[in-house]
Amino acid sequence: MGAHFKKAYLYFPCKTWIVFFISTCFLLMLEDIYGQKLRVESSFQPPTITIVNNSVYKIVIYGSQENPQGSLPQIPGLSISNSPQTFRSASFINGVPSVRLEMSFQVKPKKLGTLTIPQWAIKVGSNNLQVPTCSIQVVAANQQDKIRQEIEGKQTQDLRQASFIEFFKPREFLFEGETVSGLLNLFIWDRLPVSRIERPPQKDGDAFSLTELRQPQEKRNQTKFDKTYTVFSWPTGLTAAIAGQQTIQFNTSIRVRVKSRGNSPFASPFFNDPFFGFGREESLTVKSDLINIEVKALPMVSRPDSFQGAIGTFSCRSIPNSDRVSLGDPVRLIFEIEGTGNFSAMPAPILNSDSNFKIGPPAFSFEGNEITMYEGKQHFEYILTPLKAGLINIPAILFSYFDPIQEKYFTSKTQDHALRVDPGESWVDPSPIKQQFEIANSLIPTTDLFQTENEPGEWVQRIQSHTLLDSNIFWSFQTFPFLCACGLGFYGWKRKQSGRDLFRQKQNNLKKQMKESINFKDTSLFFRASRERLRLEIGTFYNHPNPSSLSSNELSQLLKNGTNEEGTISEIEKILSASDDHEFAGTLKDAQSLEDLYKHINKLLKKIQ
Amino acid sequence: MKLPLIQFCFLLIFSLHYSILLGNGDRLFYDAVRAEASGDLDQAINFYLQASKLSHSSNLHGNLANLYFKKEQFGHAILHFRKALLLHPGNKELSANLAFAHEMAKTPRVNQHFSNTYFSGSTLSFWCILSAFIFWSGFLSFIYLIYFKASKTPLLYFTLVWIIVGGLIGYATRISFLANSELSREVIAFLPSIENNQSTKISLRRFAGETNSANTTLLPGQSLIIDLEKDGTNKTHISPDGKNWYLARSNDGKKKGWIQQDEFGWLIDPTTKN
Repeated sequence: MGAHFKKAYLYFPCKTWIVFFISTCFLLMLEDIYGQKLRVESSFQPPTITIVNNSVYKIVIYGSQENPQGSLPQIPGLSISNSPQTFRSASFINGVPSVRLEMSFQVKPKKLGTLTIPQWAIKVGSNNLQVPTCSIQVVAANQQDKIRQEIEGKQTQDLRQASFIEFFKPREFLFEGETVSGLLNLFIWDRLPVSRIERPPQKDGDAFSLTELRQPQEKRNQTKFDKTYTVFSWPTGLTAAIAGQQTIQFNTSIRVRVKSRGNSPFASPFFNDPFFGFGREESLTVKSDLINIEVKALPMVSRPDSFQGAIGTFSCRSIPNSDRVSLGDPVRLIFEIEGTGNFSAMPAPILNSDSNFKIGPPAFSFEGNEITMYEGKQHFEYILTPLKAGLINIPAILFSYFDPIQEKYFTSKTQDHALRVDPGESWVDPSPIKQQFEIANSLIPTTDLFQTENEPGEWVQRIQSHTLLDSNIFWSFQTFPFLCACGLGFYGWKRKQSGRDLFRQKQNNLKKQMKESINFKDTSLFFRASRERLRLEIGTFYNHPNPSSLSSNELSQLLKNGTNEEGTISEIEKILSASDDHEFAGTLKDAQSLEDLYKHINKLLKKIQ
Repeated sequence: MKLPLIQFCFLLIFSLHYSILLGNGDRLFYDAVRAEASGDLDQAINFYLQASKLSHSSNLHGNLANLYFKKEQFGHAILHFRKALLLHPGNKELSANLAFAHEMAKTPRVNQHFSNTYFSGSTLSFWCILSAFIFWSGFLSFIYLIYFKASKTPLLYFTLVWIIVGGLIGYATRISFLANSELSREVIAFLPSIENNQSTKISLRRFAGETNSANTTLLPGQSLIIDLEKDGTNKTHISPDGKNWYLARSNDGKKKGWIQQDEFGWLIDPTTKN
């Protein structure tokens, strides 16, 4: 045997032997540990406390480090934390290995006296164990405890004032479905080293709905509680959903920098290090106060049939995009509601198709603060397709709402709109383009057509006034110009007649003188009378105003201006020359020659043209 | 002394009678407006028609036409729009209403030609005055030139110009006179208000009889001119059943036939011509 061992010793290297030895020892130790008897101990540390202090309920399990399973008993007057601290340990006691598991529960008493946690069961692995009974003595608080409680309260208050949420309740009560505009303010003390706001505030409570919170507005250097804050504000619309006495609370999380766990702001945020160092970050939950709001149900009395849930103060109108269309062409009717109220919960007024229009479902759009949807204009755009031609009315829209201030229902009605629907085009005559253009230019809006006049205007007995042709006055009036014309004509005729008489008288006198001068063989008289007669007749013929003033040359010229023959003119010139010669030279002529000359002059004067 | 007193009394009685008539017209008009406002269109039409028997106003016929239009009686509506326009020719609203009524009735509008504008019946008085002025002024000038001006050349030129201008203006007066004559004989066809009247067209019959076949048909709102006898009176016929028939033709002369008295309305009522 010894030879064999020696041989084996020689055969294996030294390191292998060491590993073998340690493994053997470990197996033996495990055997001892698992062979250790399981037992449980429980105790309060300290076992006697004042009511303002906390104690620790400690359970120690010997012989195992496995997590036990079981449920803590509920003890009246004793608040036990559900999140224990665990501690595992292993040790050698007199060479014997020993393992244990310690679990420490924070305990806060709520009443005085001896409070006992009875025996209760836990399961460790496959073993069922009983936790023994344990008692704690709670005595009344002493003066020191009270002072410490006050200090802690102040610290808590300070901690609350480091960051908090404020929500302005706009009214004492709301109506079910009513939307109010509110402002959520997150106050962050300037000395609190906040790195970021993790999320916008959230509400606790299902009795209200909140509109989406977007980017907050930031205001710096806001003073409150003698501290300077940075305030982040979220405008929001709060809608009451469930009637009754309701509560609402808001919370959010912010990240703050802390130096170490010991310097955590939760423990003492203000007194250790005002800047909290540059260590790690921790999340801090910030809450608002609990807000009580009464939500009233909407009154059922006098509720209009057209009420669909609109609550607020509104005015409405409808606007068609055209007042004249062709049959089949759609018309857009925009129904516009303006004011303050629950726009987000407002359904479109119902417009049903009828024999005049086919009406489609409306499209929605909102102008205003789209975050709160509380104040602005809501548009509902309907598409109306006229089904018949003519002047038809776009129906008025009824809109009912509840005014939460006056606590009454109101119904608004839009005005009717006249729509001129032209018959569909069948054939367009290309020729009267100009006329169509004129018609198009003279068009006036349909809204101005077919208006009723409230005053009769000027009354007349006949539609068509008398024409002048029917008027006796007109025909009577014609007598004036007629008489004028008659008078003028008569006067002119008389005037002309009187001129001719004088001419004829003179002519006869001169003829008579010529004949007498022939009888008395008075040549000088004959030629004088001849020259006068030529002057008179030629001058009168050519309308000379004063024939007796004409000289021989002027008479010749007058004759030449006319259409007389050269022979006639020269003959007359000869007679005139002879007359001049006789008057200035005294030449003689016998009676026979004077008689011939007289006849010749008569013939010449008849030839004058 | 007695004559002025009689004249004064006559004028007083006439003015009182006239003011009473107009007062009744006003009352009926306001009654009609109230009836229309209360939605009783038939009663309103009745009041307006009563008022129109007493006297006429543009607003009365305009309102009446509007009511007929609302009741889709386009023939009556066109008739009264035309009457309103005769009383107030420059009213654009009435013109637009009339155009739309024609559109709805699918009847042709009265074209605003040059001749219809400047030589219409309403311009007859203007042409008459102008004709008289040109004639008499020319005639007086002619006499003057004959007797007081020795030269014949100006007389010749003046006479030529006078004849040409006078001829043109005389022709314009003639056209206007004819237009005026046609206007006084113009009627608007409409469907008679007989219950269960399902027809939408008016017949122009070959002969003056209800059972007679139609020469052609008209749409309510179309305009017709009543034909004249040789003596200048309207061409009418009274059928054995006592109905009065008129021979009428359309403005363009394409449609002609006999039409019953209750199938049209006079633009200018011949009973109030004097």
